Amino acid sequence: MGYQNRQPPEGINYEPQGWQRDFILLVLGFAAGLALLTWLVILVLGWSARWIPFSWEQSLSASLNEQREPTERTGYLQTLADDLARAGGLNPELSLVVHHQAQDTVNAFATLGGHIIVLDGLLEKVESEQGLAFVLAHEIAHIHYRHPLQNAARQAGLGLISALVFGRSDLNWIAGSGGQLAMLDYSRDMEREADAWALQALYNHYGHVAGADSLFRWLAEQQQAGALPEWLSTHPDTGARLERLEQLSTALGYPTDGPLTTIPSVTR
Amino acid sequence: MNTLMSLQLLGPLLFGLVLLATGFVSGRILERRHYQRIIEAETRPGQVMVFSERLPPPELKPPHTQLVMGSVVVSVDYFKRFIAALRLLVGGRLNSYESLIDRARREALLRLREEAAALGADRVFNIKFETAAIAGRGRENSVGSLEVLAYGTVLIPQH
Repeated sequence: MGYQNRQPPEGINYEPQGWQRDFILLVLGFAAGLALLTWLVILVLGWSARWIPFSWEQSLSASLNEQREPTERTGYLQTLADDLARAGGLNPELSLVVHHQAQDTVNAFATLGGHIIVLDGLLEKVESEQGLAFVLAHEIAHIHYRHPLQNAARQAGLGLISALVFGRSDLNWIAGSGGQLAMLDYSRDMEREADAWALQALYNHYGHVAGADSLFRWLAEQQQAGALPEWLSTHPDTGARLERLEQLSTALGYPTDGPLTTIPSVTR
Repeated sequence: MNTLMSLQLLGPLLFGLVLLATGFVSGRILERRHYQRIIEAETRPGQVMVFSERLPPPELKPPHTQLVMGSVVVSVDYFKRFIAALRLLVGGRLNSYESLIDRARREALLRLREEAAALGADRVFNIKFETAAIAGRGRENSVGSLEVLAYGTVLIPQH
């Protein structure tokens, strides 16, 4: 009887360990590709944002105009901002709108469409107009370099990628919630750029840079010992920032002594 | 790139990787065990022999004949489908499905042999395979599961 069943060798109709190897290669490749794509999108969008017309930004942020109260305080801030913009050489295609908000936080921020929001906490904390002017000029610099727009473009790009990658899977809701959490901060390079521009604007406006660092000095006092190291943070470490400002002033020959202007009582 | 921004993408990605790694490990263990079982059963001495010939050899005494079947339903899991989806981007062997279908075919044949052995037979002729995709839950690329059916004609010797 020539009839028999022999056992053929394994691995002819399938590849032993094949899908495990696939898994590792493909998943790692996919993750690497995604990271590369993300990096590229962020780079390209951030870089190409400069060609987006300013009128687009303004129409996007038009709702902010309705909230603006034409108080004396706003008037003072707007005048100061316009002076600083002239002194620093703000791109003529851009324009500034300054707001203030009744919040105790010591901060100011710039957003799309040339809007700058100054929080009342800042006005109460700064001792001289120069201290306020530096912060204001710093935000004007962000607008000058169109940082808010770059960030918005990057955020949109990230949203698009996460929608493409996670949009049709169970991971969707996680990516979605992550997207809402991620409010883009300015990168450290942007902050440095803005500091340098602000210092130069201050010098052009007042003829000296005294008082420019007053807010940072106050911040440095506030900072607790357990604060994040600089490389983890998007906001440069206050100490490093102070040093850089001093170095810049020395390098450019800006006098660090001069008469300080008091802030008009209307803002208090 | 700042930390928050990377978290937005990396968070879900890491979560996905953890899910996939879990499936990878469990799938790997299950598949290895299944192959061990299959090979052990296939190489067990005294197995019913299977042939794809349509007619039994004429020198056999006229036996009783009967239809025997072995059928297996396997499901494509999340991870195999994920790997297959990535495979679609680059092309090449769909290893993750190949081993699954190979296991299903061999398992079906083993069940057929079991049925034949229960009938007191020692060989099965005219073996055929049928593979049918059973649609998934109506989602995209829904090869939810598939059935492999092996059937043949068993020869029960007359004593």
